[in-house]
Order: sequence, then structure tokens, then C-alpha cells
Amino acid sequence: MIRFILIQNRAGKTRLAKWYMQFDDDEKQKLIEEVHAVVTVRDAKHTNFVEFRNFKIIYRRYAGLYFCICVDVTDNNLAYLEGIHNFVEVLNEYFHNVCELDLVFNFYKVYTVVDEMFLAGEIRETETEESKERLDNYRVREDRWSETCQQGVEQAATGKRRVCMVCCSKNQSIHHSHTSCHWTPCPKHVHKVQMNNYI
Amino acid sequence: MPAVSKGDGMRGLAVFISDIRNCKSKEAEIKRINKELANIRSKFKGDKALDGYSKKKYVCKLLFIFLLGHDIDFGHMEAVNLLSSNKYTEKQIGYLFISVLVNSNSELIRLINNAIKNDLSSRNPTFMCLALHCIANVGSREMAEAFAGEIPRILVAGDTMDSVKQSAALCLLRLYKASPDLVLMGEWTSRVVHLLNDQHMGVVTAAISLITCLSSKNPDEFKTCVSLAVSRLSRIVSSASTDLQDYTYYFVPAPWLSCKLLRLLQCYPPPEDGAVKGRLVECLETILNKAQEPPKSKKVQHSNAKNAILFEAISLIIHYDSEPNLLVRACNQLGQFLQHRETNLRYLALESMCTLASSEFSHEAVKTHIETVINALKTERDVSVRQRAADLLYAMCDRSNAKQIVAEMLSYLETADYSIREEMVLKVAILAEKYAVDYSWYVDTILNLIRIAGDYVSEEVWYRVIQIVINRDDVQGYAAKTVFEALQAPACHENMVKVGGYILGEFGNLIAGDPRSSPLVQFNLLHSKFHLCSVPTRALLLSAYIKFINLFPETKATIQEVLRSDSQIRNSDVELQQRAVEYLKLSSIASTDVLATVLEEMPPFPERESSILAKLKKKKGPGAVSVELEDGKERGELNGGGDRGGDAAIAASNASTPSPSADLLGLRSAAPVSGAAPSAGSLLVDVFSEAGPAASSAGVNDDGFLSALHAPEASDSPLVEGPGDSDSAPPSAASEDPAPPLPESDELLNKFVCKNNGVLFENQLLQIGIKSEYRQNLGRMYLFYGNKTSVQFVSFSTTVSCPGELQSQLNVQTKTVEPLVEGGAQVQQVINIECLTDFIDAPLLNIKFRYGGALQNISLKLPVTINKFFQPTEMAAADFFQRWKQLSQPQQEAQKIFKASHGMDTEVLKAKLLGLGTALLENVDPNPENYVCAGVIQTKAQQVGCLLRLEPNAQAQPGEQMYRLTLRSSKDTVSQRVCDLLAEQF
Repeated sequence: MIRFILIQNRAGKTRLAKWYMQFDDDEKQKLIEEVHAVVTVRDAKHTNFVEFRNFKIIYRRYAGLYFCICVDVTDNNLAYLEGIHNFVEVLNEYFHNVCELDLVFNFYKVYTVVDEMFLAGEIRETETEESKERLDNYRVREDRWSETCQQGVEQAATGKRRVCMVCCSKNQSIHHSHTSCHWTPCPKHVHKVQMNNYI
Repeated sequence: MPAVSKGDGMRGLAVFISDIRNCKSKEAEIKRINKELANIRSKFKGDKALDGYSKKKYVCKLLFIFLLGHDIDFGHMEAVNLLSSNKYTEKQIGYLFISVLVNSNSELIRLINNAIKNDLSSRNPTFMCLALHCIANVGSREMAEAFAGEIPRILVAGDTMDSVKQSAALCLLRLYKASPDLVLMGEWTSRVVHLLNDQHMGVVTAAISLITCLSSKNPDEFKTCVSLAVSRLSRIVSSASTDLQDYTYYFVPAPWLSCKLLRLLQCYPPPEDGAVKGRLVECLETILNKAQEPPKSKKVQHSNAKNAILFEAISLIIHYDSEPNLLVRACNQLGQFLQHRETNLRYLALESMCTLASSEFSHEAVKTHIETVINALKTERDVSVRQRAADLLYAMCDRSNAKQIVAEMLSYLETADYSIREEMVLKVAILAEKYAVDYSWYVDTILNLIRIAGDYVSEEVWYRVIQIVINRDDVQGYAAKTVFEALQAPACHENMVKVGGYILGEFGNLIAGDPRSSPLVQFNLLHSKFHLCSVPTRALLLSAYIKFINLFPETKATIQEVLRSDSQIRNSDVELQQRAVEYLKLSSIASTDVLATVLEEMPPFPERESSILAKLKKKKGPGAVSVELEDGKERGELNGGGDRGGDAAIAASNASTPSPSADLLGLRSAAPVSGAAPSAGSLLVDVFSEAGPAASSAGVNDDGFLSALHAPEASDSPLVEGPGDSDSAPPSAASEDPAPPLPESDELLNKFVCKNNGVLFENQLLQIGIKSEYRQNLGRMYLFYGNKTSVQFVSFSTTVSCPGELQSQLNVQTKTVEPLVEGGAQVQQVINIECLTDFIDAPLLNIKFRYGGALQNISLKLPVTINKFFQPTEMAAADFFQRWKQLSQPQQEAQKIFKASHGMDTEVLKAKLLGLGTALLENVDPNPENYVCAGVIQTKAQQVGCLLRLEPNAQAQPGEQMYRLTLRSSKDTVSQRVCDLLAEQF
């Protein structure tokens, strides 16, 4: 079964932490740091699997984000690896070209997506159309995402410096774009941002 | 459906998140958060009732703050209020807050449960799912108590929406895992199993996780799931069905569901129903076939999904372990993956092959990939892949390739990643021990291990090498020589010093004949390392020094001087100081005899599971199961193969019996405790049956001179070869007749009344060690004849005879030994003993051999005494006295009063009485100074109950201390014999 799901960026900022077993807060923090340390040192030639305490972590990197699923050692690695990808595809559909900031500003919606696909540490639904349809149903009752985003941009545009979502460097000039998210990365990372490039 | 209102976007939340992200420092962030917390607090406390939207927004902000890592101590009530909202987004935020910040406040729990109950009965699938997800996420006992009865009903009800069924199934799984006692499936079982047939694939995907968990706990109740799972799998794999809906992922039909189905089947043995089994085998073949087909897409998602199913299918094939054809196909498929360009696949293939290696059907097929695996160990970039390669090498290792694999692992160790060195060391140590054909290779390997990776050699490893060297007499000389050479290196690892110190301390005498390794050279070599070592090692070296004093009296002065030096005797470390003081004193006041006794060679270690293996298991955690399985199998092989007679000791020593003598004979135990026990047991029976005629003919042979031998006076005959005069061959040595027993043989016999193992005899040529086990009226004795010289013994032969009436009392059978004993070698002989009735005399052992042309002829008494067949009997005081009174006839009692020849140390006395074989009964004798024991002597003819009482007068002056020993038994000869034997012990 899945013990936890973590989405972290390269700098170690947690974008989602979903726990399927009991840990106290200190332990959670420790796990988050350990996972980050184990996963970020690995490169493309490495496997997508790491032994981790008495479990293993199946992870995949999308742009600057690491999607990590911690499962039992006897679990099927490839099934969970594709489980991650399937999850990312649903997020991508849901947020129309998802990027890191979608996960930040809509953290509460991400939990809904997770519960839709994984529950009690098991895979609940694997069919993306089905998930999307149901999530879209919820969406009807929600606000328009672009409105929120616009708000964020306005705030950010009031002279505050911007953070690149890939490398988290803070010295970028402000860019506006009108894709799903109005925050843009620093120029050298611009090609990495659109996760759907990798899908 | 609620209309989309402008406010639903929670603009305030987005602003707040932006602000936090723009904070340049932690302080600024905390300041901003505190401001927000104050704001929210005031809103919550304000007079004005908040509308749903504001509540949702503020609760969501609190949640965000909490997720940033700050404590939140309010807002729970507002979150609970949101649960009863009719708006989806408000309800969702409420449930999310509750799921993330679980609070055990009982008042809140009641409110939460109430809200959940309402939502569950709302018949609105969206709300039902939210409520079920909340239960699944929290999973507390309170929730299980409240809802465990309700959820199964929702799960199987005909009118429940598919999505709700999915949530209900997994919600139930969570509750079952958390509180299995509260989830009673009983009446629902069959309907839950039939969810496997649900037409909605999503429902099956979710429900199967629940079914798998329940099946693994109660396989019988759920066994109908097997045929359902097989037919479902078959429909997916053959893609014949139209119920795939849109569950095809990159051209692979329902990969996750297929994996889960294959996993469910792994809870059960292969299906018994032929049709079901045929269908399943067909599925597995189809999956293997598909792996060979060209991919339908170049995307990695396609191959991953396909291979996920393939690996799960291989797991099932390995789990069944009954289809050689499929196992070999699986192995070939994995062999292809070993060279695949995808690292993931190489890794998984290595991992999967590890389990295949333990199947008898595919072990050989796995072995054909050895070169690829060794190459992986050397060239893979990812350490975890290299580790899998090392695991696989370990798993595929057997007698045929052990040397190659151990050598490869050793050479890899020099460059191995630090994180896996310790485990590698353990594995090398285990393989070297398990497959050691000659133990000198084993010693070499372990010493190499210490040389290459000394820092990673844990205590267990070097303890183990010492245990083995001590238990295997044939390797002691070699080990001493090798460590001596290894210690010559200017820099050697401390672990090497430890092993060297211990082994030279025990067996330095075996190489002392060579002037290059004379006692003093050995000592100086060890002592040159002393100052570089840590305290525990120094302590060990001090013990080695005192052993040197015993082994080599000529080193006494030098060593005493070292012990006397201030750096030892005044060492600031208590342990070192104490050792130095005590050893110095011991060496100066104790007589040679006492010294020899105190510093006697270590007795063989009781055999037990290798501590290294235990350590590896611990290190590997739950994943080490395969190692364990494989090990069990290996034991069987080790014991089954080889020449049985000669390997008896190895077989016995590999048996991981919980206590040294508990199950060696394996006669009584209905269920053997280890794989080796049955083989040891049958061995005994075999020996008895096949050695029968041979031994009786030997008995006839002996008959002729038995009368001559039997005279006890023979013991002071001058024709004796005693220790020390072996070089001047005594006249009698020319005679082919067995020599009369040595004068000290009675004394030697007495030495073994209360113990079963030790050195029976030793002179300058020969050492005879003994190890024996008794059970009921049967016994087995191992004799180890060690050639202490460097010249071979020829015409080596041994005879065991039972003089006089002993012949009808004992049945003794031996196997002949090899006539040639190489210099420094040791041969072993097994003697089986059956006690027919009680007896007094001991069997005679005669050894003849030629050493440098001169005939050596030695006779000894074998330490088989009547007390060896004691079974301890525990009884209460009342029983004891009642039986004592029953045995009141004068001839049933034997009594002796004798002077104490040793001190009256309570523990020593107790140990001796226990060694006698009786049970030591506490709190029976009114005088606590006295000892009482009880036991039953088992002979084939009868059982003789025996009671014993030993009364010391401990208060008397030393030198005047006396014992009174009283024996009562149902047979006069037994009372007298046991009394005589025991009187010599104190």
C-alpha cells in the first residue's frame, strides 16, 4: 500500500504531502527532508526507485517537481510509476497545463484530485476521463481558476520580485503570459515549465 | 447545483498566498502570518455571524498556515460548521480541514460523526464520497465504531452509485486495517467477493484492494474469489470483453487492475479446479507472449504499463513455483531485461531473478546469467542496481560457483559504495562459511575481508570466524599460521588484531615449532600492535598473553614484565587494570595444573544459527524473507549431500538447534525444529542398522584378549606409553595386541562424569577430543583424533571393546576411520552407544598407528558412565520424601563420606550435579546447605529411579571439609556405581 505521497520542488519545498499512515509532525518533517535528500541527488540514468527505510520510494520528475510515492517493498514498482504519471495527466487536464503554482494556489483542490485517484493507500480510480468528468462536475461549483490567478499576478506585479518556479531564484524580471498560469520562469528554465511538454 | 458566485474563488486566500510567497525572510513570513491569524481570530470571535463563504475562506487560510508548518489551535469549530453546508466547496474545505488537522476533542468528534452520518444518508453521491473520504483519511477508532456497520451496506447496495462504491470499498479497507475487530464481514462476504464481477472497472479496481486484504487474513472465507479473479483477468488479457470501457492506458488494457488481480491470486495456492487453472496458465502465457511482441507505442508509458503486468505475472509464477515451463520462460524474459537499456528494467529484472534463484526449477536457468550479473556489479552507475546485482549473486550462489562469486564480491568490495559495504561484508562472510569445502579457504576469505573492508566487518563476522576455527580442529593450525602472516603487515586493521590475538592465544602452539613463529616472536608481534588498539582490543590481547603463559612457559617472564608495567597495572581504564592485576597474580601464584585448567583451550561453541545471518536479516528488515527461505533450502542441501559418515559433524554443526543437545538426535521430537534435525536423526538410525554386523564381528575379534585386558592391575604395568615418552618407543609398542589401559585412564574417565565434551587424551603426538550427546538410553560420541605432528600417521586404526559382562550391558558401534592421518590433520569417528542395562565398567578404546615406523599403541577408557543415561526428574518436596521412604531397604542405599578435594563453591557444586544428568531440586531439603537431586536412568531393559542427597559441612575449616553423599535407587548396583562415580567429583 501507499504510505505517503509527496510532491516537492528541487529546493525541497513541499507542494503536497498526503499521509496514509500515522506519523507525528516531527516525523513527517523528517521524512520530507529525507525524501528530498535521497531523490534529488539522482539523475536520469538512475532508476525511478529508491529503497527508503523499510519501504521504497517510486518517484518521477516533472520539470522542477518531484512526485514521490512511498510504498511497501513488495509493491509493484512500474504500476506505481505509471500511477504517478496517470495522476499528473489528471492534474494536467484539471488545471489545463498544470504548473507548480497551480499546486500552490489551489492546494485544497489538489487534495480532491488525490482522493479521487488514491484512497486509503490504494489506487481508487485509474481512468482519466472518468476522474476528469467527476472533477469537472465539482469544478462547475467552483470559481474560475483564471480569476484567482489574475489576482495573484496583480499582487505580484505591484513591484515585488518574482520567484522562478524551476530554480526558485528570486532575481527574475517580471514576465506575463497568458497561459494557464501567469507566473513565468526565469529565461533559462522557460522550456522546463510546461509539464505537458513532458507528458 | 449552486450557482457560480463571484466570491467562490477566495480572492483573499490568493492574496494571502501571494503575500507569503513574496516575504523575503522567515521573520517577515511569521509577521504576516501572525497578522492574518489575529484577523481570522477576530472575525471568528466577532459579533457578526460569518457567511459560509467567509468561513470557508478563513478555514482555508488556517489550513494553509498549518501546512506551512505553523501550529493552529483554533478554527476547528468553524470547520465543523462547514460540514453541514449545502455548498460543495464549503463542505469540501470543512472535510479537508478535519482530515488534515485531526483533533481528538470528543465533543468535536461527536459533531463530525453527526455531519458524516447526514452526508452518508443524503443520497447525494458527491457528498457521500466526501464523507467516505474523510473517514478513510482519518480512520480513527471512534469513526470505525460509528460507521463500520453502515459502510458494507452502502458498498453492496444495488442502488449505490459506482463512484460511491469505490470510495466505500477503500474506506472499509482503511477501517479494517485500523480496527479489524470492528469490521465484521460475515454476511457481506459473498456479495463483496462478487464485486469482482461488477461491470464498472473502477469499482473492481477499488474493491479488489479490499478483497486482497481480507483474503490474506481469512483465505478460506474468500476462496471463491480465485475463479472470479481468473475469469476477470482472462477477459482483460485476451481483450475479448467489451467491458474495458476506457480503462486502456497507452494501448495496455487495464494495467492496474490486471496487477491487482495477479496480486490477489498470490494470496492463494494454484487453483485446484483444472479448468480454472488452465485458464490462468493461458493468461500467464499470453502475458509472456505479449512481452515478445513489438510495442504498440514508443512511449515509455506503454512499455511500463505492459511490464508492470509482466512482473506481477512473474511474481505469481514464482509464488506457485510449480510450473517449470513458465518459470524457465520467466527467467529467459528477465534475462533479456538484464541487458535492456532502461535502467528501471535492469533493476527490476535483477530483483525478480533473486526470487527465481530460490526455485529449484529455475535455479540453474538463473545461474546461466552469472557473467551478466557480475558485469552489472562492476559497471552499473546506480548503486541500487549494483546492490540488486550483489543480492542476486548471493541468491544464485551454490557450491559450484561459490569461489567465483565470493572472489567477485571481494574485489567489488574494494570499490563498493560505502552504503552497502557492511551488507556486502556480511554476505561474503555467510557465503564463505556456507560453501566452504575446505576451511582454509574460509579463513583466507574472512581475513581478506578484514584486510579489504576492516571498518565494515562487524563483530558478528569476526566472532564467527573464531567460533568456526575453535569448532573445527582441522583448520586451527592453518588459521594460526595465516593470522600470524597477516599480522606481519605494518598496518593492519584492528579487527585483524582481534582475530589474531584470539587465535594465537588459543592455537599459537600449533605453529610454535617453527623458529620464525616461536612463542616469543608471536608475542612480540602481537604486542607491537597493542598500543595502537582501542581498549576492548587491548583487553582481548591481555587475555591472549595470559593464555601464552600457559601455552609457552618460556614466555612467562617477558609477559609478566609487560603486565607489571605501569601502563598496564596502573592503567586508567578499570577493565584493563583489573585484567593486568589478575593475570599477573594468576600467573605468579597458580600452579601449572591450575593454570592449565583455568586457561584450558576454549571448548567448542554450542552450534546455533550463524549470528551473521541473524544480523543480515535484521539489517534487511522485512524484505529478508527470501534470504531466510533460501537459507533453509541450503541447509537441506548441505546435509543431504556429501559423504554422510564423514560429514556427520558438519551436518550436526549446521543444525540450528536452540540448545546444544536438544535435538541433535532428533529421536523424540515429532516435529523437527530445523531442517537438519531429521537428517541427523535418520543418520543415527542408519548408523545403527548398517554398522550392526560389522561391530559385532569386531566384538568377536576382541574376545580373544579381553580377559587379559580386563585385569585392573594392568594399569600400573610398565608397558605404558605415557605423555612425554612417545619418542622413546616403549617395548610393548612393537606388539600388535592392544596395550592395557593407561594408568590415568580412570582419572580421565572421572573427568568426564559431569561433562560431555573436552579433550580426552593428549600426548606429544596425538590429541583426542570428545563430544557426546545422550538421549534416553542412546548416546552418540564423536571422537576427534588430531595428529599434532607434521608427519602422517599410517595404519591408523581404532577399536572399541566392551570387556567382560559389559558386552551384554552396552551395545557399542563404531565406524572405521581412515588409516592415514596427515600431519596436522584431524580425523573424526562416530560411536553410537545403546545402554541395554545398567553397567559399571567403561568400554575400552584402543588406538594403534605407526609414527615414523614405530608402532604406537594406546588404550583408554571411553567416558561412558551409567549416569550419562539419566533423565532429570523434577518433583516437589512431598513427592521426593515419599519416594525416598519407599526406597528404604538397606541394599537400595549407598552412602559415602569423603573429604572435599576441591572448594565448596555452591555454583560449582550445582554445575556438577546438573552435569551428572539429574534434576537439581530446590527447596526440598529442609537444610538449605544440602543438595538433593532426582533422575531416572534409562536403559533398554528397565528404568531405574534414582534419588540423591549431598550434605556438605561447609562451616568446617578448609582441609577438613567433608561431604556425605547418599544415593537411593531401585537397584543396588546403580546406587553403588553412581555413588562411587560422584564421590570422585567433589
